Amino acid sequence: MRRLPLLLSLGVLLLSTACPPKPGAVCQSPKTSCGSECVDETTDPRNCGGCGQACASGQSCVAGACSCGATDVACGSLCVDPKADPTNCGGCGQACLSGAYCDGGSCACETGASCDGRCVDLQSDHDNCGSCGSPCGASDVCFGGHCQAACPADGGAAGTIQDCGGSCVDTSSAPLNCGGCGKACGAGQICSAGSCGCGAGLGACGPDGGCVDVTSNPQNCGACGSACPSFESCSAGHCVGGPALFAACYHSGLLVPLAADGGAPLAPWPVVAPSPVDGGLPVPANPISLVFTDPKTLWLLDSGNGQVDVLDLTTWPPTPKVSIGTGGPDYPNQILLCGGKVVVVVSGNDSIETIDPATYAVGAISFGTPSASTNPYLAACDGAHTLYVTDSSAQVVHAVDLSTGTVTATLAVPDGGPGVSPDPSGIGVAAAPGGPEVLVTLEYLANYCPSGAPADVLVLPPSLGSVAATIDPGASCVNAGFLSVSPGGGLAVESCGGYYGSCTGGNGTGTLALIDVATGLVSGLVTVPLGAPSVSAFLGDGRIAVADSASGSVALLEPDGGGVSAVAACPAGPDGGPGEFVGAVVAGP
Amino acid sequence: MVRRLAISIALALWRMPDRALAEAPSQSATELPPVDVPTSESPELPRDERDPTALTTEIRAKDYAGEERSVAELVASAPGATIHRLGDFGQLATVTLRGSSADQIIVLLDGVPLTSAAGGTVDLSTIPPELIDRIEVLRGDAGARYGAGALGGVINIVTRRPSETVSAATVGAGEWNTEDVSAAGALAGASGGAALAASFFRSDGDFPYRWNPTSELAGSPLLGAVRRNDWSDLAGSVGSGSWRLGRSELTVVGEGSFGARGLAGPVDALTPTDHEQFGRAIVGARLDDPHALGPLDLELSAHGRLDSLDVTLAPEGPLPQTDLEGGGSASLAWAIGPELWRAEAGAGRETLQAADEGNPARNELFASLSDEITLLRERLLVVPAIRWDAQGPFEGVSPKLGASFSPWAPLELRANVGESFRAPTFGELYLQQGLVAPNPSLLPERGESADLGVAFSEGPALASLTAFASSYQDLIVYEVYPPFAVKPFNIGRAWIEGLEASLSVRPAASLTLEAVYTYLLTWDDDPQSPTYGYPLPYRPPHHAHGRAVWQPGRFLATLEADWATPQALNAAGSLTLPGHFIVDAGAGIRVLDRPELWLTAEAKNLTDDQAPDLYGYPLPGTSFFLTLRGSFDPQSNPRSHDR
Repeated sequence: MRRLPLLLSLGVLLLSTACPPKPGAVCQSPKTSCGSECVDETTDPRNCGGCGQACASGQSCVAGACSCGATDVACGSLCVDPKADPTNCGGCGQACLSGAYCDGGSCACETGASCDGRCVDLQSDHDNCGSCGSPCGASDVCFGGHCQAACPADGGAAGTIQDCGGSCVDTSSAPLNCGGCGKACGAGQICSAGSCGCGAGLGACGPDGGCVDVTSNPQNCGACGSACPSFESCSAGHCVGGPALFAACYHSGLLVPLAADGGAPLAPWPVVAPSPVDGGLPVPANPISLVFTDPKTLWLLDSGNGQVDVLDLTTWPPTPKVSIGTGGPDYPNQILLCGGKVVVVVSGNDSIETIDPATYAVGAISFGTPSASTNPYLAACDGAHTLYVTDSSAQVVHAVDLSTGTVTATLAVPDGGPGVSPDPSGIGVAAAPGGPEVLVTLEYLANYCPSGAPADVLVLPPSLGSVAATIDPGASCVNAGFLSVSPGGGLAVESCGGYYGSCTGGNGTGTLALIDVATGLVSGLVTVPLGAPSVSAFLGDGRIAVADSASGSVALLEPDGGGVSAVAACPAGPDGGPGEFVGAVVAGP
Repeated sequence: MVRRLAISIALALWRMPDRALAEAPSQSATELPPVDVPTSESPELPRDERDPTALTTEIRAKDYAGEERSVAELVASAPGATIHRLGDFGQLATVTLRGSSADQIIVLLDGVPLTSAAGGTVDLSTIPPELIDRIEVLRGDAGARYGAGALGGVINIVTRRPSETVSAATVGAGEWNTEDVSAAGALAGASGGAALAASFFRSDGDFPYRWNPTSELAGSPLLGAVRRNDWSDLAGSVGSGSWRLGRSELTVVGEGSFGARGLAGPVDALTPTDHEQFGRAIVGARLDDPHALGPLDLELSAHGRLDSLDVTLAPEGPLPQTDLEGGGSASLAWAIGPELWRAEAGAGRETLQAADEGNPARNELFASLSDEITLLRERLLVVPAIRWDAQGPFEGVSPKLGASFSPWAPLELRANVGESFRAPTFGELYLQQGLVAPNPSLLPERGESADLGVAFSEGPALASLTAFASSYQDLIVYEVYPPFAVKPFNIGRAWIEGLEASLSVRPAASLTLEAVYTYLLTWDDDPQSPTYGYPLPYRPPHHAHGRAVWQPGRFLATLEADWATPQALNAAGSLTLPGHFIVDAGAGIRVLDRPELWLTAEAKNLTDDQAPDLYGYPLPGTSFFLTLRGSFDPQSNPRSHDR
């Protein structure tokens, strides 16, 4: 008998699972596929309750249905305030008559009198002359609340009095006879100088030119067509109640709105934008920088994919409007506004990209030459059209006139000594008593870890002629980088990255150096509960928000360094593992 | 910019080329006959230890004699191979197989693994091409036969041996001040022989290229520039000898190389002063004693390797590394009827002297068992194998089952299924260099793979088609960690499948035509990943390579083309590397018969395709080279074989 072979293949393997799903068509629950995009039909106002079922402007999507804000109701495609909307006063379709306005849900007469449900002017109404139910004779007219034979022949003092069916009416101001007998103004309109129009606090925004309260209507807040984001309300003609700041998570691409108290008023939303490659899959973003061009338009710099994503924040989740390439394969650093343009610092491409926010037309200013080693790093604007840019490879600071697209000045940073490489990084434009100053973080890069690189803050004139002064933030400020300046220009915040990652076997603690621009002195050194403080932003209430580049936290503190707290903004990475961090923060609009 | 990782140091274990099976005298009544491989001419059995059922390609260096070819370019002609280069002419070149990562390939030089615990990828450009006899490219999981780390396959570079060495010398020159000189000689005696070969190569690498500094603007112009600090100098030698000692045979091989090169950097972040120096020395010995223990064939081997690398990167300054590795193994083989059993065990140790990694060291052990079973009148070969590896604190088992079946002579089917792992490297675990952070808590990568191939060989024609699939888990991926720093994590999962096709025909005695094609379908297989389902970067979906050689008498003409489609540069596929189409042509004439003297002229990149590779590193355009080669033995016609 032939000896059977003894198979050794212990644990003959099966390939793991059946064939995985095909790429590009899978959405994770609770999201569903709408075209090439994964959406949540219970919260996405563009696909509310189904693909393509968009909510109207100003509406949000709640549980798969479009809804208006807390004080509004949906009347057709509009969100209206039934307590103030004269065409939907007290309910949809309940329009106030001409000459009436909506007051607390009830129509009130402009003239102050209502007879038999009709707004009347007791000073001129033939049938209610002086009081309701007091008609004049058939051939008489009512003028000044009294019956008389005829209206003033000269039309009265202004020459605008006319006999309209027995009523002596001032056609320059009578809403039912505005500019002539029988010319009635629309619901909620007033008559002024013989023309119909909306009164103070109202705008002719409604259908057929109807008046809408622009002081409270979220779809017409402050002006017709100026809609608040769906997560904000309208108060005194301004959108209010929105997030105090937005944080962006680098690896997951989440855009996280945060309230002033650190709460989360809205669900974080993963930014996914169209691919710049024709026919490419949607691109999960790696946000590294944010800027608002107007209260409802957020520009997000996607570093990992080398593109700028423009987001419409009229609704939440936001709607991607357009994506613009930064000419990559290399990682762009920063996006900001300057000279009426959106500016992107593209270090990997050695250039500054300029984008017209209205037309999205792209321009570029190159720093690189084939023989030079350049690395434009971070930038700041003087509030006009001059951009100051640090170059960490060339070890210089440039001044760039964006109106001409030319470099107008370049200053080499001071030498750091033997074996030390001076590395200019963070930059800001401050307002000193003597005039504007350019502040530059200069890190003396010799040993990044474990001892950490010390740094100075250079004070430069706008001309970049020479170094006017040097501010030493102290020995506790190591691995410094990002620098931001308050809106008034009087306070600068230097982020000292500290020891992070493996330098100390875990996250260390970072420091912020607060610099009083007027005195040029460090007014405070604040220890923050962050692994590595990076980019910071000044909020509308004056507080400072600081992103952590070693975790998903954002620190909040007062301008004097007090009231330090930390908010968890970004979730941990996949599999409980790595390095999710806050790539960017920006103050809410 | 992320700093480059240190590269290229030895693995734990080394096995000399296996000649025992072909040459061991049979004393068993049921001696296992050799496997009959269908081919138009009988190939030499490879000297290293090969898995007879694995899909393998053999590239013979003499088929490219007189042509300016780097090792990377030779490997690129194999199906399933993808080459990435940071420039040309002596600059960094790495290889992947079947969509794997470069760290998942074991590269052997005469059986000595160059893949090392230090991490990084094996730099093929540091291997002197003139010393090579052939390159064997084994695709698919080879962990059961070659140990942990061979998830994607094995590349075995075999240098010249005494019996295969012809006395020859080559002198070549070309553009960018490129020069190379090589010589080889052999001595044979009654009881053995020895061979020695040496080569020297240098190039300035200062080629012109075009670059767009404002590529964000549509239609913006390209600027002309010249590549600087792209020079390279490389020298190497290899010596080998074999002697019969009674019934045993002793084989010794030694290889040494050293060199230096400039590190030019990407075009938008030039590094005009960065450079590196490297050196490597290998020595190995193997004693084959057939029937040393009755029916058992014994093989003992030992090796040692020293690698040094000194990288100077501004502004940090010199970053020296020295890796020392040594090991040995013992193997027993015995034939039992239709089966050939082989058991092997070995041990080794590797130490790395590198200040930015903490001078790590680790011991390595392995044990393997395999059985080659011949059935159905030698038409069916079944090879189960299993291997246990311990590399420092990481250990695992790599099983594999392979089979080959030849129902009739021209046709052969091969199939394999296996599983293996890759231990984290020293670099991934400990390297703290600039903005690269380590992760000591990493786990090994794991993978399973399967393939099925069919080959048809009739007369001068050979065709093959292979389908494969692989699944990887716990892939070690470098993630942006604080901004502008990176750190490795076990967060990757990937699925890879594809096809490999090759064709070799000889329509006339003087004309040979060869073509290979690889199709890759890859995607991120991690449901938690924001790019779940997206294609993996750096895996071109389509790659083809073709070559035609015409040698009517004393004349020679060659034409070669390489084509690849665009590939993603990042996980989301939003950034892409352009595809390329590169054509090389050559012509030669034999000006003397005795000794044989060939003069060859070559034009590379006739299409002047300057598509960049890896983060904007440009490659040279059209260039010309001239080579004069003399030998005292006649040249055979060029051919390559696919198994």
